[in-house]
Amino acid sequence: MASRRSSKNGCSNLRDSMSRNGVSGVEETLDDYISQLPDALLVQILSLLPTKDAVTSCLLSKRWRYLCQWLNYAVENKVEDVVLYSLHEGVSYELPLSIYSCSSMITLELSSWVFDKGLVITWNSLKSLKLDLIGLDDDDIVKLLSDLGYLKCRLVNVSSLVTANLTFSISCITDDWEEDDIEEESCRDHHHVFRNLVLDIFQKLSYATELRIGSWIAEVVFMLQLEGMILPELRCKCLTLKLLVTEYNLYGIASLLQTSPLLESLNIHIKNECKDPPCLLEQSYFAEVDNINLLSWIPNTVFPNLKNAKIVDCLSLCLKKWSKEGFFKLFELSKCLLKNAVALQKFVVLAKRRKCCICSQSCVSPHLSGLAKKLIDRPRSSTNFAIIYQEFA
Amino acid sequence: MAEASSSITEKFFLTLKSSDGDEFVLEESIAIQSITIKNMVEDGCSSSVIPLSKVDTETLIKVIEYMKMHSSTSSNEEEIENFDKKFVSNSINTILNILEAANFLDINNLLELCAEAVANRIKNKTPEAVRKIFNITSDFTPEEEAEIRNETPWAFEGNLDHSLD
Repeated sequence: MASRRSSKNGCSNLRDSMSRNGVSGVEETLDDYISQLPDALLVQILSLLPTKDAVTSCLLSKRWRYLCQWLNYAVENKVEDVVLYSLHEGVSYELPLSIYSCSSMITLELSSWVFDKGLVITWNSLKSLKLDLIGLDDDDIVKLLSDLGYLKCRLVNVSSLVTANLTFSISCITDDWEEDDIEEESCRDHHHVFRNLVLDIFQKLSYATELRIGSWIAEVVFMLQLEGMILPELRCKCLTLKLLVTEYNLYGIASLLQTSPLLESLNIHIKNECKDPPCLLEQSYFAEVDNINLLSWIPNTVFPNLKNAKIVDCLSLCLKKWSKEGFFKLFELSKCLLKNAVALQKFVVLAKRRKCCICSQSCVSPHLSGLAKKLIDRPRSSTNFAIIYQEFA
Repeated sequence: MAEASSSITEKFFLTLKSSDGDEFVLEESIAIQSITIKNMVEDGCSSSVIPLSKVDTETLIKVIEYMKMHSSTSSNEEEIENFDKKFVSNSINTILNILEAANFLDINNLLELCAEAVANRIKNKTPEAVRKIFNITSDFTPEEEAEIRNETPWAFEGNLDHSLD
């Protein structure tokens, strides 16, 4: 009744019913309610989106497009964490220009992008950089790392960089080409550049208290030492090795331990890695291992502050098939630790028992428990410590 | 003795008035989660009714519900978490209303909760689906649209979700 009367009535009632529609009828009339929000709120919503979705939303309408000049806006407004994934496999797009000069970024993850070599990178605040499927040639890497290096240098000076993950590897150029096409010289230059790079990284990370090292870095450290280079002293308190201990990286690891007198915790996360076979030049270095043993490599070294050593099995291989040789160098390293760590309190060996996808049984490596057992009888310099062996599922 | 004195502790109440004219009486300690209200209380403007001309009754009820849950000392973390989960399942327009109210009232965690809920409705959707969800009308010509897609082709590929959930 009421509504029929109002429709017949005069102007004021009509306006009244319209305005009421505007208030309570939001859902029914399907207004574009979100676009009525103030810019600041929309930008806040956009900032919660992965970058890709934020950019996608610029197609919604002109208002959104204006807001989604967002990447630029974000850069201007000191965005701190950027994740840029390009999903199209095999195709890399050029990195948005504004990213190069985004000095507020603290973390950056890039996947499938191409760098424009001509541009200067100013990531002054960057603390974490993760690159995946990035097409970089030699020059790019050197440039990227030297641009970053300069910045890291500043960071290190203010001691802001406390953890560093050095688990990357750089392949030799001979991997990509028929070996005949590469002159020996260029391979040598290539390695020379990388060795200096690694030395530079360690210099810049000498204040970092937590380091994670992969096999490649340890191998380069070994080669650096063979060249007579001296590693800077590290302030590292917690060192995590993510690798299989092999004869090629063992001495690099030993050198790192030697140059880290403050080290309190050493974690060895045993990991299998896919690595390119060593090139001829690398092989010539590696051949040296036959003339070296751990004792002569780091003579009279003590690890004064090392309290905890931990070996953790992080392999995805079938452990039953894993050969004894794979443990030989690990055992050698462990012996060295026991012998020279005067303050050692705990030596923990953690073996993982799991459903193996290869032998489809629950498998655990017999070698790790064997390692723990063998260590019990070894000479040790700490008087108050325990060897702990645990299996976990 | 200690118990007796704590039960006597005086509770202050505030009256909030929605844009629809409805009044709600609320404990001051709960209401001052809103920085806007807190500032008014501190400035001494709270002796009478506090008019919230930008918040309608329906939205204000939700906001008060949220503030009660988040200030109550009896509700534990799990309860709050469950409450938040249920809270964001309100209709998208309700969430948008609350978002705007939270912005006006300056209740930061409520603002964040709602902004995230909205963002989650956009995540990984095609622009077409997002337009439908929020009733956004495109004001681009087909040519303009093609141009934008060309500028950032990587943003429009992959398995985007067409659904309106």
